[in-house]
This record gives sequence, C-alpha cells and structure tokens, in this order.
Amino acid sequence: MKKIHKINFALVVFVIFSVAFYGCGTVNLFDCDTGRAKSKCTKRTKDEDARIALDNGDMTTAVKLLQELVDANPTEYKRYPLLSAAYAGKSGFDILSVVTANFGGANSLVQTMTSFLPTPITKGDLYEQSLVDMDSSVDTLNIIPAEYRESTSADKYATSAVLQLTLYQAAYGIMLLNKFTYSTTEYDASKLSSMTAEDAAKILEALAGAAGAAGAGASATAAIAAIQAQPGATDQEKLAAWSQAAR
Amino acid sequence: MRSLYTSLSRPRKNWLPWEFLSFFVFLTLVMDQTSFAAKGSAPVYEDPFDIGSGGASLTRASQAGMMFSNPALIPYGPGFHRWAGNESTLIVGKDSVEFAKSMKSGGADSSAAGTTKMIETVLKTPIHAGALNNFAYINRVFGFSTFSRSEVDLSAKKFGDTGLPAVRFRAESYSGVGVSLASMALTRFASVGVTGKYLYASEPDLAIDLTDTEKIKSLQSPTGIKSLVSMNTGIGYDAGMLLFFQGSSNDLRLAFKADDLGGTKLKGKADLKLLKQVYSLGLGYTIHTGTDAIVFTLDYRDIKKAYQEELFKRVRMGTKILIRRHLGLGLGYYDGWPSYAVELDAFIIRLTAAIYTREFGAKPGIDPRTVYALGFTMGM
Repeated sequence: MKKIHKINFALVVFVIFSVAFYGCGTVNLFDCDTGRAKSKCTKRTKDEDARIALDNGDMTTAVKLLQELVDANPTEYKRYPLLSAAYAGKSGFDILSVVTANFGGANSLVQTMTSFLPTPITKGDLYEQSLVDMDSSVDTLNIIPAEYRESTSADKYATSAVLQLTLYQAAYGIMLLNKFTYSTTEYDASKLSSMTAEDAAKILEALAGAAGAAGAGASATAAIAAIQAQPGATDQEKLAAWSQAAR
Repeated sequence: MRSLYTSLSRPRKNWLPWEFLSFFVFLTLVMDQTSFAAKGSAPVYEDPFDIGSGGASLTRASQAGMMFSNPALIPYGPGFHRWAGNESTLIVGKDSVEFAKSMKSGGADSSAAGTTKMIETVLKTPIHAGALNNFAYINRVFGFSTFSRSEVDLSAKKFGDTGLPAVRFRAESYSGVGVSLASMALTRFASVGVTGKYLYASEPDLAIDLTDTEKIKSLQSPTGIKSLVSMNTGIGYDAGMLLFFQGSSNDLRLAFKADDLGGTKLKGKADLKLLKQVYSLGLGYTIHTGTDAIVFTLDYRDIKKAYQEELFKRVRMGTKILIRRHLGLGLGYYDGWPSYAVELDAFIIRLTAAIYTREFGAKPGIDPRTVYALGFTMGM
C-alpha cells in the first residue's frame, strides 16, 4: 500500500511537470519573442529576422528589415542582392519560375516572362505597387559599385548581383510593357495607344540594361533587335507592333 | 533501465573536507587545459531516450550513453556487470515524413504550375535522416564501445544568402571506438572516469546557389565528391567526475565533465580539424522508491563558451519517470525546444522512441528540425 502511494507520488510529480512543459507549447524556451525564459533569452539579429521573413514568404517584413540594415551600413554590399531579391519577391516575381524557364528567341521574352510575372490581371489595382517594387529591386542593385558586381568575380554575391540585375531589368521592362497591354480582366491591346514616349524609353532602357548577358539577357538582346525592326516612326509604335507580334 | 535508475544500496556517509578538496583539485587540473576552436558542444554519441528527455545526461545516462555522456557514471549501479549489448536507432525528420506522405497521396502533376508547386514543396521541406549504432560492454570499472552516428540534412531555400535559390547539404558523421575507465577509489561519494576515443569524424557543410554552375560542376568530379565524404581521424579523451549525495528516498548528483581534453585534433582531408575542449556541469535530483523513480536533470554545457554557442544550446533540462524498471517516460528541453521520449525495457530488449527538435541556426527558430528517433536495443 505504501509502495503504491509512492508510485502515485512520482506520477503526480511527473504529471505536474508534464503539464508545465506542455503549457510552454511548441515554442523555444529561450526565444525572446515567443519563449518563456524569464532570465536570459537569445535575441535574434535583424539579419536573422530578415532571413526568417524571407523563408516564410513575408516579403514586406523582409524588405523593411533589410532596407534598415542597408541604410545603417550602406557599404556592406553583400546585403544588396538579398534586399533586391526581397523587393522582387514583394513585386510578385517568382524566382523559381525563372529557374525552370526556357528563354529563347526574340519573342520569347514577352511570352516566357509574362507566364510568371505579375500582370494587371493577377495584381489588379496593386499592379502599380508591383512596378514600384520591381523598380526598387533594379535600383538597389545599381547602387552597388561596378567592382562589386562582376560576373567573373569569385565572390558569389557579386555574381548573384549581375544575374539578378539582368533578370529584374528584363522583368521590369516586360512588366512596364504589360501595363499597356492588359486591363485588370483581360489582354487589351487598345491600351497601347496610351503609352507615352517616356514610357517607351523606360521600357527600352530596361531591356537594354538586361541585354548582353546569357539566358534572359540574350533574349533581351534579340528583343531589342526585333523591336527596332518593327514598322513605325516612334518607339511607342515599334513597341506596340512588337508587343502584338510577340504574343 | 538499470543504467537509468542505479542502485540505492550504498550507505550514507558525511562529506569529508578532503573529499571536497579532491574534487576541486580535479576541477583545477582539468580547467587548466587550454581551449581550442571548432564545432558543437554535444557529445559524439547520445542515447535517444536521453536526448528525448532533454539531453541533460551528465548526471544520468542510459546504457552505452554513459561512456560518452559522463564516464564517471559507470561505477554507480547494482552489481559488477553493467551492460553488454547493441543499440540501433533510426532518425527521421518530421518534415521528411510529411513530405513522403504528400508525395504518396498527391499524384503526378506535370503542368508548369504543378512543377513549380513541387519545387516549392521541396524548398520548404528539409530532408533529415540518420542512424546511430552502438555495441558496448560496460562493467563497474571499465567500458568498451564501438559506435557510429551519421545524420544527413538537405535543405533548399527559395532565397539563399545571395538572394538566389540555394541548396544546403550538411552531415555529421562520427564513428569509432571508446574505452572507459572509472573509479570510486577517492571516496564513496565521488567517482571519476575517463573515456579515450578513436574517432572517424566529418561534418561537411556545403551551400550552393542553384545558378552556380561552376560549383555544381566541381562537385560532379571525383575530387569534389571526395571532399564531402572523406573522414578525418583522431584520438581524444573525455574526463568526468560525479558527486553522489544519497538519501533513503531521494538523491542528489553533481557532475563535472571535460570533453576532448586539450582539444581533439583530427587529421585528414575533411574540414573538421579540431574538437574543442569543453567543460560542463550537471545537476540531478531523484525521488525514488525501491523500483520507481522520478529524475530531474539540468546540464550547463560548454561553460567557457568554447564553441561560442548561445545559451539555448548549452542548457539542457528534463525529467524522467521510471516505473518498475520497465517503463520510462521523459520530457525536457533540448536546444530550447520541448522534447519527449518513452522507453520500454523488456529484460533483454529495449525499445525507445523520442521526439525532439534540433536547432541548426545560431538562434532559436532560425533553422529548426523536429526529429523522430526510434531505437532498438538488445542486451543486458
């Protein structure tokens, strides 16, 4: 009888501890944000929080944190490619689609990129913000000095910056063009008439920025040549003709 | 269960000043060793039940785990013979299991959207797997063990460090032979033990951007692969001390351990060249009857922060309940995350199951892996 009493005592203590542990849920005891540590917790750095935000697809938070870090230390150029990727992700650019995409030929840039880029149809009223974010993505990479942005560099951040810049410039050019070819519900070529000379210049500038590199860059080079070969007196007319031919 | 719940037959005795002195002399001798640099502070081999119970094993450890957790544990137990047998454990990441389930039930989708979705799933699902094996003979003064521990972790990220998709491959591979000697010669309330180990060790850690074709190409060559799979070898020593204050229904244990005395230097082509010397302290409190016990344990590892690990990786705590020497339940905090374990000891066969989370990141929540461990032990 006495022994049973002692077993019960042990069980009761264990159950109490089990409940106490269970009460802590599935969080880490030492996590400063969610943990239960009352003495010394382990605070994550802003870089680590940005990393978690990226992994979770929370691009708004990732952009905010990385931008703060870049602003605080503007000569730490290794962060720029990551910030640029976060801006691109925020715009709706899916980097995985690029990995599996097949760029080839002058017309494929519109067809291939439009297949995975955000459009006025998929983004609706938020499309303008997507354009701003993609533009920020390009601007971020352009801040990096040329010597830290070399495709032949042994530094993987430098080579990543070159590759991303090619992709995002091409993407920005196509997104800008799609602004004039889609309504929020369907393909609408009639909107091309609203394209200004300034708009056309921006599109061509973006495509020219991407031209020269392999993959999407080669496709951009071919696209520029094809645009110049289109009938029309102005860049708007040539772009409009190419846009419709490329579909 | 014998090794978890040791004999309570030793008589009580007052603590003598020279016994304290011997303890502090031991501490001083070991603490004088120089610290070197290298990787994590965990022992090279741990029993899955101990890990699932929080991993605080300096004052209590299961079977062959004693030799590597703290060799000074060896003298405490009933009889001369402690353990002879083999332990095999399979480790599988929780995410890997769920990924396998989704692949089985999902069916093929060859469309572009389906391909992207599959890649998304792969990127979000790290694959973690491993196996442990240990064959050991242990008596009151001596232990011999051959062991192997291999864990592989493959993860991919949509946004790698440079912003492009990246894959990371990590592995931990330790195998070798351990020989322990332990004694209670100094005092009945204290034991000391030493484990010498001959190690084959490797910890490849490789991150590749999916767009880095040069790196991928280099890994396809024989020399590239060799750099990943080659093992370094070296001889190292662990030393431990245990103070055991025993009562009729409860006891208190204090442990001190130094892993890799003087630093274990490893030779070979792998990157892992040194296991740093690490000092750890353990506290254990047990409430018991003749056959049942509840054990509370707390380890404070790597006191001098040789590996520069954060507190959540160096503090381990947990509790075990041992019923009739046949059933064990454990819970605790391992790497700061809740962990759970159960074991069934049917005389010569012991089954263990544990769920715990390893944090691969430097801070909590950055790169955690929840792991299932299933162990089968045969021996006595």
